[in-house]
Amino acid sequence: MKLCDICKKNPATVQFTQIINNEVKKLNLCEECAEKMGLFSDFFTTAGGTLLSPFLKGLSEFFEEEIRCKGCGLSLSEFQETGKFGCSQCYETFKTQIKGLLKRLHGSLTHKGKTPKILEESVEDRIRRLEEELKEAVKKEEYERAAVLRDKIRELKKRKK
Amino acid sequence: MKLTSFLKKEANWIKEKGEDSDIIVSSRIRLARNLKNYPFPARSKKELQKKIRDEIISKIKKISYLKNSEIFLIEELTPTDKRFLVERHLISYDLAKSKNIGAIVIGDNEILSIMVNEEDHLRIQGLNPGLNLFDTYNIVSVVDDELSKLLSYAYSEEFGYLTSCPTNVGTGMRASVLLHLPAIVKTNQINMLLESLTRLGMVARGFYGEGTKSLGDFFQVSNQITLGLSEREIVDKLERVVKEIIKKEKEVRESYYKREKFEIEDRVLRSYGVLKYAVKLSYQELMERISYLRMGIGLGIKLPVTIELINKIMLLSQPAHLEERLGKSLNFNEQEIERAKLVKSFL
Repeated sequence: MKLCDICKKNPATVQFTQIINNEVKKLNLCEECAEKMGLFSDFFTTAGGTLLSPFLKGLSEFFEEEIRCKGCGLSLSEFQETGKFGCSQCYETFKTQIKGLLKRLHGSLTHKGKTPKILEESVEDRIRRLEEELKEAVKKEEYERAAVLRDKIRELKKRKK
Repeated sequence: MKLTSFLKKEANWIKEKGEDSDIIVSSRIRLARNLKNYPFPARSKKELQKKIRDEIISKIKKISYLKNSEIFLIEELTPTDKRFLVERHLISYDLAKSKNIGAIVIGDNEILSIMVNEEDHLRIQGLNPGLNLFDTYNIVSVVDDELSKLLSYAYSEEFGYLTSCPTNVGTGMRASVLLHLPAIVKTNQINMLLESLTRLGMVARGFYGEGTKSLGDFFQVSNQITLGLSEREIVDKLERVVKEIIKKEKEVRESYYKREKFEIEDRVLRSYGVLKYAVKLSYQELMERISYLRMGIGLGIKLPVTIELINKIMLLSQPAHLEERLGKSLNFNEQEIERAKLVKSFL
């Protein structure tokens, strides 16, 4: 019988699957550890969704060391050591972890400035493209990104008038 | 020594330009850019670094503004060459030390230059004499726009231009002004100034930029924040801060001179004497003396030198400049002797 991945003592009776970065991670837990991580209380007393987050937070702490950027293989702990990213995809990979850092460094989380010329489509095209992205973000339940996109669209529409 | 041709040219930034040239030396804009489809230089193997460099250089050659530029491959430069370029503010200390397969592209009059494979794939820089941030930004931005049509930049709607270090993300822009602040330093008010800069989202660095010491009371004041402000806002904010610093330096100079007139005149004129008659000069001492001369000119003390000549002496008497000019390496002792000879020949 498999032992619990956290305490490594009791037999694992609960299996939890999480998808991070399109990679499936499986965690085998004993009942005691699962309860400590808030699995039962959150999972059974609420209908899931955002109220699951305390549990997910506990889980991500467990998994954190294993998150690696798909673009360059950089891990979060390597980033924390050097303070430098490995490739442009790292920003997407470690997005949730770096928001606090960016806010501390710059006091802001959203770019305001020039864009590469190749991306300079007409305002209409840009609004259309951003609206597509917004739909996708909502579908994927990436609400923070959706909020940023919504604000950009609003700003562009205002500029058009 | 591939760089001797540069000795005949005058670096553009030493020119005496605009008001307050005794306080403001030069203005610089730097944009950090990366290519979307490759890891950043530190995480690319040598072969990949070379591929990235070749791709970037082939595109740079298509930019009309850079038609007459010179391109140097970092691995083909001697340590003296690299130091020479650092002394001319064309490459960073980091690129000079780095083992990356990099390059430096230097445009006409050394106004525009591009470092390839430093910390980011591209560092596009503009350097002009005097307080001239807006014009410098415009030149750099035009070249950046042209390159963005030919290379796929790493860019996100949310975070802007994506850079190796999160301190550069967003605009990827560092705007800086090299200032000479002798009165603020000599009256022990520099730490107060540095602290208040931090509160304004600005930072002061040494003579050769990031990670270098202050020399001769020169400081590079630059923006710290790169995300959430537009390029124009950053430039505008820095320019306002710089103007405040200039005002402060002038006020301090005036009261300092009123208080210690003879003391200051004695030090300024002695500095001229030392520079004219010394047989050996370290760069450190030269810069200390030059600091007094520049302040003396600012205070209206009669001296047979101009700011432009002083800037020229500062540039040419740096260690690698001495070595490139004489075409041989010099030990420390020889350097001091050659420096004193050179300075004397200008005064």
